[in-house]
Amino acid sequence: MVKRRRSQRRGTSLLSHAEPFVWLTGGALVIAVAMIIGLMVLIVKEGGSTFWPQRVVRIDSTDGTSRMGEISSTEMYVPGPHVMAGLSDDTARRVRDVIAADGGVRRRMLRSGNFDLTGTHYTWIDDFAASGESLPEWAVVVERMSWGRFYGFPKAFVIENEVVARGPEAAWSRFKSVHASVRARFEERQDLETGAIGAINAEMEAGRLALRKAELSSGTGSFEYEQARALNDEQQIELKSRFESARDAVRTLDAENARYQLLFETADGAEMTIPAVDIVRAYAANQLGFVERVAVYLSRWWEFLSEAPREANSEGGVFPAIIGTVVMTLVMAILAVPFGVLAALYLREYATQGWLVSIVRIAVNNLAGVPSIVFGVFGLGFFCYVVGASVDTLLYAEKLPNPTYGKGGLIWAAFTLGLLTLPVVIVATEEALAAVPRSMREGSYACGATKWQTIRRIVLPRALPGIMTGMILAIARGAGEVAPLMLVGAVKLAPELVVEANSTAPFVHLHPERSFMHLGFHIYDLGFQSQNSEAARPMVYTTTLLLIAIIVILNITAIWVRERLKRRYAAGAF
Amino acid sequence: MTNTFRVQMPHKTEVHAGVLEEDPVLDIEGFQLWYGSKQALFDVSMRIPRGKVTALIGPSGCGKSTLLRSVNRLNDLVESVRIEGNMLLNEDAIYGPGVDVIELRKRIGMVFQKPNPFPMSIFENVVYSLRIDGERDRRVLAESCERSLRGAGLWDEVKSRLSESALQLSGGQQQRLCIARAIAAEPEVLLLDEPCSALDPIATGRIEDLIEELKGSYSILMVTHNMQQASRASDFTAFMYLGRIVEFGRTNDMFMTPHLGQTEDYVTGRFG
Repeated sequence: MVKRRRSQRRGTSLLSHAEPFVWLTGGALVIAVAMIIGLMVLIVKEGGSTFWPQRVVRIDSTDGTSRMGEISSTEMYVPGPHVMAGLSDDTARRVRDVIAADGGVRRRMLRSGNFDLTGTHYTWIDDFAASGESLPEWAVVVERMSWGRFYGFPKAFVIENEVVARGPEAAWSRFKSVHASVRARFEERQDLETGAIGAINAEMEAGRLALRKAELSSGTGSFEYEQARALNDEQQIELKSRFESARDAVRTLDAENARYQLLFETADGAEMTIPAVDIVRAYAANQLGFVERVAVYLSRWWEFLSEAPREANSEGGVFPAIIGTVVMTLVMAILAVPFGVLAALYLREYATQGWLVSIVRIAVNNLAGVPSIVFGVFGLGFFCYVVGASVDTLLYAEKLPNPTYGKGGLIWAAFTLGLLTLPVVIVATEEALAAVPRSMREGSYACGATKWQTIRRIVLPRALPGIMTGMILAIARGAGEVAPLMLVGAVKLAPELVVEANSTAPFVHLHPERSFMHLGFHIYDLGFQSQNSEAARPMVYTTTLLLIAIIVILNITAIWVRERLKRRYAAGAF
Repeated sequence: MTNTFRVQMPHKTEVHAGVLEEDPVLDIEGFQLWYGSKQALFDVSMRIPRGKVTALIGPSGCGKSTLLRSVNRLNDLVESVRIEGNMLLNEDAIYGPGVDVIELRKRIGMVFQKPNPFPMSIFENVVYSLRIDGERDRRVLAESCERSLRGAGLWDEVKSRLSESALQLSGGQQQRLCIARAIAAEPEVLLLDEPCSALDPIATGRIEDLIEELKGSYSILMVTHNMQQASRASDFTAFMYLGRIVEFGRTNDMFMTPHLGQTEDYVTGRFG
């Protein structure tokens, strides 16, 4: 009896129980999920709060200076010996007491702006050095076209150097009444510059290129060349007059806008005149109610999503980068998916399975493990400098030595990333093809279908959801890739979009040769290349949030399509 | 028991007298087949009568399905298959140089063990063989679809949802759909490879009724494991064992008065 009980106990030892392994596997999953959720929470919280308008705090220091701005962070620290040496005995004793009690003194970072006056965007203010703080009613946050933010009190509104309104309230209400029209004139002027003047410049360039083409094909002294030159000269004169009139229109608008100025006084008492046209957005932060703050928040998001960047990318929007990312990813998918599917079809359906096919398959899988920067180098060396340069000599000889295709551009970036994601597509497609039941193929052959008819009508439709999975993985991988893009076409600031609306059919025009902005590269640029890194940091989070959102949207669209296909071919109850 | 059985293996097929009088739709002459070095069919010779149902019975692995799949050359898809001998479908050689396998398969319908509807609508499933022939005329397709579905006894159940996925049908309906698909091409011979083995008794009964109805308009060669099914549904029965046709005759004779002891052992269930 005793013996039997012992053997039972031995039989149910801890290791043979399932519970420890349930904990082990479950714990691993929990850690993975917690890390992902932690990352998402951080990005959503930081990225989502970037545009929320904070209160403007005025902090007076014991040395008599005053700073005003938004508090961006708070930390505890122990001041170094040279800081302590600079303090008065009384203050030093107070600081030591606080350190003894709390382990450090608090200091706050104030986004104080006014870079053109102070030379800094941010100021650290120690609590022990502050003599008082307040939320001034007329503290105004001004987002400017240049120099970053300005914090100050409106003092007077000036039209043509004449003060027309004095005092914060009057000046502010006058400013608000004209600001919208000033900005509208500014938009009009910008449109003229990029639209009309841009078109004239393009025509001038086209004329020059036509002349150069005639020179290249017929030589300088020839009749064709002289004819082309006469035509070009005539055109240039006409274009010049059109250019002058457009520029006059711009000048008129500028002159009208230049009349309006707002005079500010800073917390320190310095005066500052800001032209109304330079003010993108201005609000009296401490007077805003909740609804008005939401309005400012939303208007900043809208600017972020719909405008081009300003101030070395740390202000303004990311619209060109959104367009660049989406278009590049779609072009990549259009290039990579059909190629990958065809390659997988041959590998799985036609090739005789043997050692050669195995080697090809291993090579394809290894391709997925090659560092992406290697693809970037290859893309630059092969696509840009070999293929692109050949295209230039063949088709765009008159533009040389300026490269058209022989440099980084959307098409080469899409090719490079297509190459990078090809293994993903091939592997996923092969698996999907292998999963098509043999009985279905045999049924098709038995009906007298050829191999290609069987593939096209039975195998491919049935494998389509699996192929879509491969496409989703490829898009997710391709849209998030940055390193190769830096070599083959992504730029810090692209003056022109890669897609442009057009008045003639097909209405949307793709410029595959242009360089483009990319959200991933934009994040890198903001985080590591920005001169105003403190101001850029929240934008890094916001841009990351946006990039993730775009990838999620692209994937959800693909998953939606896949589920629809799956439902169409869903196996019934059997 | 198996050993003693093997010793008694005859080398010549015992063919009942009545069979040779029938007009053959399919004439198999000295057919042999190897998978690699393993021989699966030994000198198979039989004449499948026109307009009748012929059942192939025998224990698992005896080569029934292999013989069936040799008729429409589906075994060509398997690597390392080698054959000898020939088959004639209405006097046209099935094997031999210059035979267009694709065209040949269009003359032969086949229904498999497990229902294998294609991942498309019921309509497209039925007219599949017409589609791959390039038929585009909607009226011709619809006519063929209705005729085939009526022929397979499925029309009334699916006529209102022809555009729905075929994969939503029940197993029995799927199998009848596969039969409809096979007869849509108006084949000269219909091969049924254990068409009821994956179905419940009610669905099996319906398929058997269907086979009864198809008899006369189609020549059917059917593999089955089920003695009752063979005796109920077929006119002729061939008993196969270890790659050979042991005995071939009218179903009644085969079940009531078999000439050979092995056949009797098998059909009475003493061996199987």
